[in-house]
Amino acid sequence: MLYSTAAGQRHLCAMTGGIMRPGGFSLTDRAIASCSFPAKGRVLDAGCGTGIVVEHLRSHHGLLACGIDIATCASRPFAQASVYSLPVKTGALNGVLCECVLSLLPDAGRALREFGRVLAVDGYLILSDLYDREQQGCMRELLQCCGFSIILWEDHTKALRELGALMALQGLDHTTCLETKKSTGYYLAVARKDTC
Amino acid sequence: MTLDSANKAPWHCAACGIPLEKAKVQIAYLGSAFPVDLLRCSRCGIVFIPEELALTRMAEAEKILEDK
Repeated sequence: MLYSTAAGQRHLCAMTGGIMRPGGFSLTDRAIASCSFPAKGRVLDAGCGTGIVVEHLRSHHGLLACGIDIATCASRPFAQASVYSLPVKTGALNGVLCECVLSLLPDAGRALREFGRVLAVDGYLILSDLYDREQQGCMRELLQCCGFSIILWEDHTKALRELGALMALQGLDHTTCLETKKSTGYYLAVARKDTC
Repeated sequence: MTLDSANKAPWHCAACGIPLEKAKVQIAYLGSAFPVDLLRCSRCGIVFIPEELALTRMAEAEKILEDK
């Protein structure tokens, strides 16, 4: 978990320009580049937070992007919904992004199956999140069990450490960012929904 | 980043003889760079790093980047 308090959330938001996770837009752009989205493809940012990535997908990638988040915010023009029950028709989307959210969920498999429901066949799932580097096979197996084929898996633990170092330099508590385990890392994954 | 300890007394550049000014400085370590507010000489560019910062936050940031 990258933050545990409202104050920590505000600091992280200010430090990262609103994106609130390691890697910034570069990880999102890298993942998008490995997908073959149609022009004006429909994508959903599940757990969109401030909605800054949704705006980025619209303005820089020409995608018809929308976002949902469980948190309420009067100024946020996106839907309030749970990742377990997306307000989207079955097979309606070309892509789902879920960045730095899955590790917070009590049932990641349930969320992945819901992402699979709303994705069209051959639709893309883009994930970036914290993980245990000594057990990366668990996440890969879970994706495959939920009907996805992994087409990109990269370790970006350096981005996590850079964010932790920046928090330390700012005098902020970085232990929530880096957890207590030495093996905590950060990954970027792109998976494609299987035909059946 | 606060400069509490550095702000207790005005610091001057020994070489140029002018007061150091607060500036955004890029600190680089192990291939990563971070913007930090520090005191810098506007003439020669030398940067002052307070001991408190070097021994606490900066040391902690180095440790994180070293993966220790």
